[in-house]
Amino acid sequence: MRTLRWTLGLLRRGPLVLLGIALSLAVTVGFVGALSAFVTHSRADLTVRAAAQVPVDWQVQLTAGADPDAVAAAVASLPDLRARARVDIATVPALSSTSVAGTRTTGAARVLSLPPGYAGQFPGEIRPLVGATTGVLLAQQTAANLAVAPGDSFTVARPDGTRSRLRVDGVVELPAADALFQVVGAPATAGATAPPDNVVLVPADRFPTVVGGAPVVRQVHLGFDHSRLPADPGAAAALVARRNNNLQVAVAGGALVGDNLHAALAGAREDALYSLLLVLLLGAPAVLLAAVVSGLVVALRGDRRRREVALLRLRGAPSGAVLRLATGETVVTLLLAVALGLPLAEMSARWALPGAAGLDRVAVALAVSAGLVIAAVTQLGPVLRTTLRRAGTGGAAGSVRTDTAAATVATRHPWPLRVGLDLVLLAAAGLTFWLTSRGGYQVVLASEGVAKTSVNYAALLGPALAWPGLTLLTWRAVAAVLNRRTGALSREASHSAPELRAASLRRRRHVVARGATGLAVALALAGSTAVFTATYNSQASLDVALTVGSDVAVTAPVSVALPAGTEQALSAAPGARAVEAVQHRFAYVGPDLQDVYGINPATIGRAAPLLDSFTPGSTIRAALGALAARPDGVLLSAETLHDYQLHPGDLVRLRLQTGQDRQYRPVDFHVVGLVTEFPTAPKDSFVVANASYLTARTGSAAVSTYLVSSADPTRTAGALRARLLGTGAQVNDVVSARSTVTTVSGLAAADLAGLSRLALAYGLALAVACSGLALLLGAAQRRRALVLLGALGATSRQRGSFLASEAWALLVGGVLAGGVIASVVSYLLVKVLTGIFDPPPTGPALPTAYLVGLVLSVVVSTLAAVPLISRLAARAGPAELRAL
Amino acid sequence: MTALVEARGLGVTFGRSWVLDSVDLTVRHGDQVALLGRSGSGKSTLLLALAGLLPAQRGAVSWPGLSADPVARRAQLAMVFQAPSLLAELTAEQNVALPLRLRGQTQASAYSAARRALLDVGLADASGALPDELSGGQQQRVALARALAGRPLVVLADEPTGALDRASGQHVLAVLREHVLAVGGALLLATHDPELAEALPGRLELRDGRLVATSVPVALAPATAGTVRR
Repeated sequence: MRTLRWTLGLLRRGPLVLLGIALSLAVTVGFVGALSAFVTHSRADLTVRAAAQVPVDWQVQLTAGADPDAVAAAVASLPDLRARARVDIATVPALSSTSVAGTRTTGAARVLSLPPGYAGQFPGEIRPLVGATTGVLLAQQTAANLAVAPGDSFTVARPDGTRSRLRVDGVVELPAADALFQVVGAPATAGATAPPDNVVLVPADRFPTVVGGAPVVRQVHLGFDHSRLPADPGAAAALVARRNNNLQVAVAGGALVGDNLHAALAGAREDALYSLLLVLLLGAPAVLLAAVVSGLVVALRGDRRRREVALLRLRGAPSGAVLRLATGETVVTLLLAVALGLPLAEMSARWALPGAAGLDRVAVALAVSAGLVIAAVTQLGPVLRTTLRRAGTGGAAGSVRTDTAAATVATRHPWPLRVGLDLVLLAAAGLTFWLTSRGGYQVVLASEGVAKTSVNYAALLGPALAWPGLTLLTWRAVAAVLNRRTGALSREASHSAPELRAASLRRRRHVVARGATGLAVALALAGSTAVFTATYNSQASLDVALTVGSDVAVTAPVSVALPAGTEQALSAAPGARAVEAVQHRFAYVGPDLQDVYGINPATIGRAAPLLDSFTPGSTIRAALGALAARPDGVLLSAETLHDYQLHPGDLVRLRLQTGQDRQYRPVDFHVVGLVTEFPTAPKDSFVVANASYLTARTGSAAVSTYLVSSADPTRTAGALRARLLGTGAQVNDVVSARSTVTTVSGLAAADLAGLSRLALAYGLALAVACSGLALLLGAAQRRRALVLLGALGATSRQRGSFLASEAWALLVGGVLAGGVIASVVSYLLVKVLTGIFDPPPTGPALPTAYLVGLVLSVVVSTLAAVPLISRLAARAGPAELRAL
Repeated sequence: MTALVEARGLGVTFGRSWVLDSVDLTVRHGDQVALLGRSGSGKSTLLLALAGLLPAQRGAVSWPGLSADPVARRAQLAMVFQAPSLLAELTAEQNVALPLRLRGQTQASAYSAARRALLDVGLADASGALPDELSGGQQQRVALARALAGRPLVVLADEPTGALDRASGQHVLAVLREHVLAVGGALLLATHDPELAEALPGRLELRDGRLVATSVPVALAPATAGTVRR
């Protein structure tokens, strides 16, 4: 009851202060809530996208001697089943075609029987390129091998020596051929097998006659309703695995399951780890900053609180009673904060992620918990400290001293500085960073070929130790400068008593240093978050551009020749600035089949995004120059150079697929350098060569991809899609790809943009609030001194000049130190987290506009606050004057 | 003798209650008047209003014997607050020099006056000490030196000896009276200590915001006594 009366009294006497505390807590609640909603959304997004990438969820393959009816019954009873189709697969010895150029015969081929409506049930499995979408369909590689097109005929050789003649109705691409032709039931460690080169799809009713007596593998392809999956990828993967186990028990060895859905969801589960790390890196600093702001607001009534505690103790209130009163006050502010913060979180989440659902229970719980912790630490903590200290020093007598206009000024460094903790922390950070750099900045451990991913959190110790070290060092440095150089900050002006302002500033150097440190931390947190986000965004955009190849890329199917004059047509497209042709071939490097890209090294840079980081140890200009200088030159991947002990200048003989008969023949090249990334190239091994040399040695100048640099990729791509309709050519652009291409963290670029918006907006608001509050806190602590100055005859301007000296010191110290801390931390973060960027950046990206805006906002808000605060703080009412 | 400070029908409210109600008062050259009254009777409020620091809701305060310029008037009228009210980050000497420097005096003259004032209150040796290095009595004497360093004509002192022992209190009072005599000014000293009030020639009493009684000045001519009209 007493607690309630006390709290109601506080609400009556100082509602604005309590509202201010609640507002600052509400920002924390809002940010944590929005961040949690983001995590939930991004996880659900990961699940949805992972599941959507799987054309066929399960391939249930009947084992020898299995009872098809029993398997069918077990399959039919599976929950959430959306589609089911029986697919038979036979292997025939060869396919052949005859034309005026002669007869072409392939190696073994797979023949699939597809039931009617299969393409509709599993839309991602078959992508029509040219011709009909039903009937006899050839995979594009097969059509190229046989040199046939829709309307042409070819022959299927059966195992018994007989032949079946078929007419090609259409040519298709099988985007998920790896999964479609997987060895169902192979152990997880077996690795992927290469999909077959030759594939024929035939209607189910014609399958028996086509394959004759060839051995047949019977599969049932299943599709589940993905909307029924749990939002979390881990939970979804677990559910699918349990469902698989259930089927295995039901069929009792009658079938094996190729669980494509689980494989995709398991990958997404690991992606979620990256994304969580990213959220922590971007979100945790802002949460910390929000806590700092809350602490500053609470400190605004710190003096009054101390006096209240002292008076309560003086009047005999036991520690428990004092704490109960403080707890009541904390609960009220927390309730207000939750009431304001949750709607703020909801709005923030919807603003940053327009497609996101609202706050779920986890987000609400986390947001409220964060508010509770910060409220307890900032509100109850000081009361607890004061109560314990007074208990330890024998009561409150003598503690309510009001004989000076300001509290006793701290004249010593805080204890962490006295024991040199800043220097210790910085030394430890340097050592940790050095050790991490020796290990190649391996913070995310995702070994090649190993499914499991883990995070080396110890690698984050460098930046984690640097933060407090630099923060304490800022305090030490600002205090040291103010002890020696205060005169410069207190310029002579008429009636302004500069020597007194300088003396005041010098003696208050620890208070000012604390404010400057707070501002530096706020700026550094917002700044380093911005730099990290900008670097990540920049690399993610580059990754998208590398995946697409350029602003716009036109890719021709292997079997289809683009119409003559395509390059001219592309150049004339609206927005198109430059067009570059890229040849795509295959070559055996030893036993490895690698992609070969034929380019014109002199002009490729006009349309392709190229960075020096693509050619480690050199520049991209030098590497392409070396390639241009040597017609038979090749740039090889690091893995190839390492595995085959190759060096620049070495002769390397590749077996290259030639144009006439598509056979592989040896062609001599000379190594001119190393390349790790290239537009449209895969991430592992590939070869970059001169297009002119490839044309000469393969007898074909066929271009597979045109890279188009465009001022307006969407418009250019739209025009090109319309122009190339029906040719089988695929047109991609960076803008539409950006929302679908996933980054290393597993986040879609659109999600990442949302996260960035959230972190940067809160960072800016909190940094500005921090600077204003630091000043306000200083003024509140000096309120009595300002009133006294007024009573002694100081004009408003003179009073303001006392505050302005401190404001300038705070601002200059905070901004300079903030810049230094942000630079160091950004550098450490970008270096330590190199693995999270794809491709690795050459250095941190500077979001100049944001950083300038950040500093300007802080400077303007501080300078604007000085006269306002000095006027308000010195406004002396009867109570203040009588208290002098 | 000309009036230095006059209050006519002075009324000051805090919230809904009148802390001062219809106070008429004239302070003249040579007045040394004790302002008596219980806690909460309005003594501090009256001094603040007479100093021009607190606005009146009714009536008016005027300073016919002082400068019309508010800044100059501040130099002629000094307040000694109930608590020392020193700036914690300035030394005793700097605290004393502060109002002089704010009024535009040069450093040399301001610090010279400050040292002299500290000498007068017996704290010449403590000029470089910070407030929290001084005792409560020493702090109060520094505050007194700050009030007197500008040689004001009118000194309004609010319980300046409240936190001091008897000897220190007597010393502070003596310094104040010497100053008033030296400059030919006036002293209005709020106190609830009857013994201290007895030491002054004139006495006024405030009760619930109203001046209810006056005593005839003992040492001074009637024309120089505090005059109260109700």
